[in-house]
Amino acid sequence: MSEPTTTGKKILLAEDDKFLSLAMGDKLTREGFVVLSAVNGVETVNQAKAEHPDLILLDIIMPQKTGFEVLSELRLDPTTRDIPIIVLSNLGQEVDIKKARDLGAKDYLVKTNVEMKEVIARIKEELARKAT
Amino acid sequence: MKDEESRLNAILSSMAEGLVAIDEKRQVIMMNQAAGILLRTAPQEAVGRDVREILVFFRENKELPYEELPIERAIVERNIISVSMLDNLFVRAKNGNLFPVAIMIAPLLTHGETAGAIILFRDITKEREIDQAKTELVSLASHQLRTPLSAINWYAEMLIGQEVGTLTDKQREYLMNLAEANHRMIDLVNALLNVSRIDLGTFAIDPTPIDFASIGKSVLSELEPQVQTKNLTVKVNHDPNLPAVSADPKLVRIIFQNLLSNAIKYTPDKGTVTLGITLTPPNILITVADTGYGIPSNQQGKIFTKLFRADNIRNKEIEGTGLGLYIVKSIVEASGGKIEFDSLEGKGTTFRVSMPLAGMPKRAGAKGLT
Repeated sequence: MSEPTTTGKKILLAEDDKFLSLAMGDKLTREGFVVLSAVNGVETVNQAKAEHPDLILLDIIMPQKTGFEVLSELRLDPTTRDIPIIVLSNLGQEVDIKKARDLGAKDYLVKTNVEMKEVIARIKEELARKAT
Repeated sequence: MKDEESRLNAILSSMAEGLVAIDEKRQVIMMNQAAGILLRTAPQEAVGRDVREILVFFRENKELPYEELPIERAIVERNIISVSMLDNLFVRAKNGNLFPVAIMIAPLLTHGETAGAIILFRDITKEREIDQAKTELVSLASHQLRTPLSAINWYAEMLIGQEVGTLTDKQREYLMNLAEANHRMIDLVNALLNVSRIDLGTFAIDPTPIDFASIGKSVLSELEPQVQTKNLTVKVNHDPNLPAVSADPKLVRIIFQNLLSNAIKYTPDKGTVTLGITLTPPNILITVADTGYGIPSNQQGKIFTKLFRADNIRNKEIEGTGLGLYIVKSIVEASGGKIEFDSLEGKGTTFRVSMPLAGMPKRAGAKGLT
């Protein structure tokens, strides 16, 4: 059961690994979200500008542009700077987390350390915060 | 006599290592050709000069102060001093270039008096490059391994949660086993990554004032499911007024995590695990005692080595990487602390970690441990 506040919200899932993308995409869809997918950094920036998703779930190590570059670029554009971004990466170093947060990421989750239900919970929290 | 001298000269000239001999006044009395090539200084030009002008040592781009010079230590301590790749020591050649070195310095003693020293050194640029490449490969491979492991985790989670259809009890049991095995693989990858950072000496220490007791208790609460499964008794004794100690919370957590999870893992059902944190100035003492299987006395000397697992544990098919105690010891020693243990097979083991109340020294590093 998805909560009414999140049903139909658009999530841009930026993930280059097809198995992870499929797993998270299915999960998000079952939770009532509308899922947009991007498989590299350039696609992520383009989709963010064209579709204005409610939230971006962003990988860091991606082809063409890293998640860090995507963060910087979206922050510079007034039309995308307010989209909340949650980083979901397998880079778990403090230095990476700090860098992403400094670039405006709302949260930073390490894939091997989180269950999908925790990711969903964080997305809902962030959307609820944005709505208030 | 002449023959002997020319034979000696021939030997010294053909050596691949640089060799410098000095007298008690630290003046160069002999330098071979290899040393001359490495230092870009003609041997005859070096003879008679102070060795500190010829061999200038650097660490992290800073010239080493006089008292830290390995040559001084060898002479003062009258000991053979060996400097390996892990010491990250560099020497400046006459042209200003720095090159990494491994060195062996032996004091020259005549009639019990220090008459100088023999310095043997070589350029280890190639070895460092190979070591760096190895470490980067491990790091990259470990990171890449996490991606498919995350995928297995997530798909197992959705299947176990019956999000795509109901499961029979047997299917659920098999999937739970798959998820558990996958978690063990993640732990192993993380441990290997930590070991590669420790081996390169590049892990960061980032101290901040922390409360050891609350970290210990938080780790224990994470391990509560295992404690309950085995019906263990857990006791916690800590001084009520422990001061905050300047230490890296992540590293302290790794210490507690490894010692407590080992104690729980290697203690049979209904046993007892006791965590103690006490003030023993100038240290803070962590003790983790169990009533477990113990470590066979003939294997106790090996428990801090990489990949070691005691025979009595292997026979019980208890899972473990054999890396935890190596990681703990490396962290404790890099923090200026000490780790010891007592163990009796069939009775239990007690680990004691003393960490300086003065805190961990800050160390900049490329990577932290996870």
